[in-house]
Amino acid sequence: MGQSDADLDHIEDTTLMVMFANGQPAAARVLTARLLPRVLGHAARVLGNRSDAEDVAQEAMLRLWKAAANWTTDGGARPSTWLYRVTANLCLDRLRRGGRAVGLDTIAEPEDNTPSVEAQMIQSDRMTALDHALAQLPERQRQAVVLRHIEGLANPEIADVLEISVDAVESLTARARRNLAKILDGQQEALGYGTE
Amino acid sequence: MAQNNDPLETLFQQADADRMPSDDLMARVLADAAQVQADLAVAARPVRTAATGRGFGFLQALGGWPGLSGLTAAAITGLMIGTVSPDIVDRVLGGSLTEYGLLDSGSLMPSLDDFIEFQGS
Repeated sequence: MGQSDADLDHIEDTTLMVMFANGQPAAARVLTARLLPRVLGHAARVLGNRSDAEDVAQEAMLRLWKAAANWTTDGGARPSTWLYRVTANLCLDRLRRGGRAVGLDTIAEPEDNTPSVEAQMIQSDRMTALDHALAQLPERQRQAVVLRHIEGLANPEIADVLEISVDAVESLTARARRNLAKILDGQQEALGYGTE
Repeated sequence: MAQNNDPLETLFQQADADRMPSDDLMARVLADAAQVQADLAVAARPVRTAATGRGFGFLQALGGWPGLSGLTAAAITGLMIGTVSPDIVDRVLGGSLTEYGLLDSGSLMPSLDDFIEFQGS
């Protein structure tokens, strides 16, 4: 008889991967509950489109399942890191296919108070405003800042995901924050935080 | 909890809660997982392969296991005849060697003359 989801709550992702490969459906449920919200959130913020993000998240999870058969518990990549990396690459592919990727050097100064941002803030749609601001960042900055500040990953793990150095991660997130701050500058009232 | 006055940080915190997958997406992901698990189970199932190869062909040429058993028995008997004392072989054969005068000739291999003489007698 298979184990219940609660029995597996304390088990590490890597071990769950091996259990998944051995045919335990509960391992799939627990891994999905743990990892799907994270990759979905990452994809949604990077792509700025919920439907696309769901497609990417599903594809990333499918690749995770297929990788389970060859997963080892001794020193291999962490499933979450591996999954973030796959998600980041899938997002990049989708952005480039759609012509929506912003190159590393193509952004000089973010636009201030663009009508669309202003309109979104008037509607108090903060998440839409954030998505819009993120969409103006170069793709790598966007991924780094989402992983760091929304997903809460540590810089070394982000370095693994994006396959860059920790110094590069710090540089990307610092520039991303500066750019976001400029994009959102002066909008505290519209965002509803100015009077608190 | 301390109030965060940085709008960017507040946005980040709110965005963190805005990532719950829909039931439909959960169902699709779990269906993918079930399909992959089924595929892995099929791949891991022991496969009973048909006996093939040179050894199997040789065995079949001999008549299978029954043929091989008979051949083995004949080979052991021949080995015994060739290695044990002629007296014992003669006893086992009911004195045939003595009858044909082979036991005294020092050779168990009859010559053509022996047969000609035997036929003519």
